[in-house]
Amino acid sequence: MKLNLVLAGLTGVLLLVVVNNTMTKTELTEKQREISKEEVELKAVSNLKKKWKTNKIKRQRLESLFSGGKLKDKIEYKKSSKKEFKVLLKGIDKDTLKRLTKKVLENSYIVKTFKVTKIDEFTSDLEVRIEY
Amino acid sequence: MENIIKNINIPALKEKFEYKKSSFSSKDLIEKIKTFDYKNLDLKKIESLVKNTNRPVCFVHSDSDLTGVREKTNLILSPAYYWCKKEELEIDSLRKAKKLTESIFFGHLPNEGKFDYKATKIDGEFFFFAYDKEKILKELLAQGIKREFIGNVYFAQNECTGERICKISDRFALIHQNAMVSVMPLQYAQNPTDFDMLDLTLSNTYFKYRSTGGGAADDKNFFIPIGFILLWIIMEIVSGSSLSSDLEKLENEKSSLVKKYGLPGTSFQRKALKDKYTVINKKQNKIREIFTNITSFTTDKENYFKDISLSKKEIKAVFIYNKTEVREKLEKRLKGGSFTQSEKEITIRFKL
Repeated sequence: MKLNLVLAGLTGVLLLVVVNNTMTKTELTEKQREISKEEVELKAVSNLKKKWKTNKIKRQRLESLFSGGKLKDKIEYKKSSKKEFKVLLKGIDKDTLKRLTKKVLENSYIVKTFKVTKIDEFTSDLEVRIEY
Repeated sequence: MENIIKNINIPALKEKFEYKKSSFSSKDLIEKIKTFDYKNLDLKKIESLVKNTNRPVCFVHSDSDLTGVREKTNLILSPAYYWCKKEELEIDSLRKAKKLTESIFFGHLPNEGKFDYKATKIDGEFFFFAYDKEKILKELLAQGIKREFIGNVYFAQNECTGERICKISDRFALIHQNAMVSVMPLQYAQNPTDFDMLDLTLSNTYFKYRSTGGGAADDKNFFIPIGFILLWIIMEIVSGSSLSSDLEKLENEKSSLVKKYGLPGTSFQRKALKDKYTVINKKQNKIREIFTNITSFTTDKENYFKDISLSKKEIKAVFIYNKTEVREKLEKRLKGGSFTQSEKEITIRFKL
């Protein structure tokens, strides 16, 4: 009779342990799934942040576009402060305009205004204002 | 075995062990045999005894005292514990006869109680038994035997053969008459003989009680499942602790992920960040698409963009045209913009 009780007790304990383990396993699987999902999400947010966050390097790279040797003569005025960068280029050729437009557009999220005015078939004026 | 039992004198043996009163086992018997000097070998009886039971045998009547039983014992029930009917049927097969057992007792049994049935065939006659297993068990336990010591339970009807009267206790005798065994008060019994266990050849008609544990043999049967379950529990516990540590690792991994990607700690902050950059992403992709469409449009001397500008709220392009088809082409290309037209000049605005 005593052994019967022992057997019943042990079976009960076993049942409890098995149920507990099953629950832990389910929780673990759920957690793994949750973490995988979260990692994808975090990666996406991190990539977005990397792509669109303004930083010093990006600003310097953009400003350096307008200070190249060839462009020096074309600069009507240029102003650079902590909050803003302004430049007006006069009479730039088609290829330079294309290159500059592409570069500016790649960073257009920090560009406040961008204005191209055609002078004639070959030349244009370009005004760019970047706000930080 | 033959050497041991060669010198046995059965009547002397009976006297020495007093087995009539309680019980005896073949093991005890053999041990005791060695110590006495008996004559008149009755080999057949001893062989029959040893062959038929490895356990002690005990006769049970209402006034029996079973408190002395200390090992698994086969019991022979007195007719007081069961109902028996003798029938001559037109069938030969015992198997077919067994199917009739319940109907044979129909109306003859008490309304209360749960009955089990047995049937046997002796000398061409069928004997049917009805018995209340639970009630018998209660009676047996009341007489002092422990449940784990109850072995096979036989019916006196099958085991006590021969036309005679046997004394089964100080008050009762067993009588075998007209093929039926019954109990009568000892005082009315004429020349009763002692109930001779050694004359018994146990039949195959018996029932058992399922063991509930407690006996040494039953204990052994419990050790295997107990050991197995213990082992299983240990394995489960080990596996459980490993699972718990995995779970803990995952929790740590979760917090390290946030650090790894350099993002804010709370999910609210991350959501706000995500929303902010999603808006920027959408807007910038739109700007690029519009500019790509504008700059890839083929222009010439007379059809060209005069101004292209980007501000916070809109993209504006002023197009000078000479040919109507060029204008139409432009309108098709720059879908989604709002067009304002004046002579030879068209202004396209895209809201951001």
